[in-house]
Amino acid sequence: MSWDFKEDRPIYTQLLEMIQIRIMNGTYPLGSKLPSVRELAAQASVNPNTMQKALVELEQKGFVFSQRTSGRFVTEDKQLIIQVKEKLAKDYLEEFRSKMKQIGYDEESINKLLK
Amino acid sequence: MSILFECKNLSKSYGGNSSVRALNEVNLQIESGKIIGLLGPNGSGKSTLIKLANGLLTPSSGEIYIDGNPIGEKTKSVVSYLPERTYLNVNQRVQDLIKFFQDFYVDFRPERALGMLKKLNIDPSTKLKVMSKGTREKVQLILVMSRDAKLYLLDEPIGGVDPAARDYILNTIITNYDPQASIIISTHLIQDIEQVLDEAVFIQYGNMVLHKSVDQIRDEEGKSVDGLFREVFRC
Amino acid sequence: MLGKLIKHEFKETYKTFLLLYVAILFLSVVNLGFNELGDGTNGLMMIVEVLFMIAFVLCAFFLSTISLVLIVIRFYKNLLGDEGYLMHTLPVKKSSLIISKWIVAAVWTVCSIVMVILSIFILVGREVPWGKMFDFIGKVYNGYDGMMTLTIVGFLCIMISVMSQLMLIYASMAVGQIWQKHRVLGAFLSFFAINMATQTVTSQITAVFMASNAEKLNNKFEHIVATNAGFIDGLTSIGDFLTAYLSLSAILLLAFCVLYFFICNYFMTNRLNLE
Repeated sequence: MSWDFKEDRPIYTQLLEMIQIRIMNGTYPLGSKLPSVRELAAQASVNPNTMQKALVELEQKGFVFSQRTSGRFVTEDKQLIIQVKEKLAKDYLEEFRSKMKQIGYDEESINKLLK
Repeated sequence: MSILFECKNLSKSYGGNSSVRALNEVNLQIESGKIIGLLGPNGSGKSTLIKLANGLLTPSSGEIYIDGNPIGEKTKSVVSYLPERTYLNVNQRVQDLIKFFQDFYVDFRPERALGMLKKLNIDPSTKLKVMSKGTREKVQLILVMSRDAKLYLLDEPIGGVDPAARDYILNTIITNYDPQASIIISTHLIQDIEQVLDEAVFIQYGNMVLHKSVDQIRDEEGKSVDGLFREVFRC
Repeated sequence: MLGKLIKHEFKETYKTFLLLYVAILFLSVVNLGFNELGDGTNGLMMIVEVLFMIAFVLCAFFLSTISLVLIVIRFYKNLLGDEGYLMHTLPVKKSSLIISKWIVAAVWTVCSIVMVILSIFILVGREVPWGKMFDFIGKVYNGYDGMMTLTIVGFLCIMISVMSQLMLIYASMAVGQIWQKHRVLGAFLSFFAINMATQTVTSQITAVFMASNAEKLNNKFEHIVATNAGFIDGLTSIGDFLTAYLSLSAILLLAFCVLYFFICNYFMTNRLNLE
């Protein structure tokens, strides 16, 4: 997975999502220790302050927590992850549906296509 | 968080009767722990501002301070400057240059330089003149970033290098990040460094026309710094 | 910091000068060899001999010029060229940059002079009537008791003259570089201008000095001619005048040297225009 950023949104919000996705797909397993801010920033080729901002918000949202001396860890709250995963999946589906609608596919034709 | 770099009504003119105004009443403050992009087209005054900061030029009027001190020996000892050109004696070996930096800069860390050179498979006993331009530029960057300086001034660090070298340079900047220090990167290649920047400063015809954080620009303008730049500096 | 600058200055310049010195020593030894071993019959050998002699003469003649050119190029390249971006951002005083170059340049200049003398020595040392020469020198020092002072003042005069000349060249380069597009031309013009100003002032002061001493000197010369005085007596007669004249020259040269330094320092600090 590479870290690709879009131009029109702040980088830290995009970082937030990208880390969430990596938690969801197991790149950063639940309960595991995250690399340091600087390492993550280097991996993503972003400013360490920006990465810090993203991580702080992730902490606020409950996706990661920090232990003062040991660093940051991914949450062990499976439920939270499943919740967010489902919401994201629903968002993707909505996006898919509306795109298909744009090119003239209704519910039935979509189902046919998916078989 | 302290103010590491400050200029008040800073102006610089050249030529008879001060015919060329390279910088015009610039007011700028930069806090510690930030990576700042000094952005503008060629001839906009970016290089002039950097030269004023490292003492290569003296102001025509106005003031400039680094870490609260006026430009002089004291500021030079905490400013690490990477010019746009090959500024080292190419007849010297890398290890001679390391000794040189060590002699004159108290904050120079030779272990860091040697470590970075090793990772790039550059033999310290090599003379600069036998190296390719790209390798030479990397050596210059390594020497500059191996100091524990308060202010790093990088003048077009990624202009004219291949993408792999560019990634290496950005990676070096990120991994050497120090919350007590700040880095000013002067460039016209904004797309490549935007995600490394905290704040952007636009300079046009010697005037500072914008100073905002990158996030602010994306939020407020709905476009990247590069996009905004193209708009502001449209020919 | 000045010490460090001087150390690095020597480090970066010694190879070139060493090469030059080795070359001239080599040439003088080779020429000596030819003189000793040559028998003047082999045509080819004679041509080679002559060539080497020409090479030696050229080298000896131009050694000090080459030495000066090397010094000028070093100053220009290191402080006014791309390396200036390194040197002028070092945490050192601008004056230290100038003085470190000046001191090292003076050392090399003196070495070059010594080398020329040494190489001539090697070549013709055998021919010189050393015994008679030292005899004569001894007599002079014994005969004129101000000789020591005169020698010292003369030596100082030469030294100060060398150092003043170097500082003049540095100052000219510092002034010339403000003319961005024609830095070298600017340096030459500055050199001529400053030199002319110096000469004007010096000749005025010297003229006054001469005028005030004219009568006394005139009497002394008349006396020397009248009494058919020998070298040592003649020297004793005008020795004090010579010492005074050389002292004046030395003081003037020193004063101008200081002036050149301030000019150089000012332009390097406030009017530096690299690129």
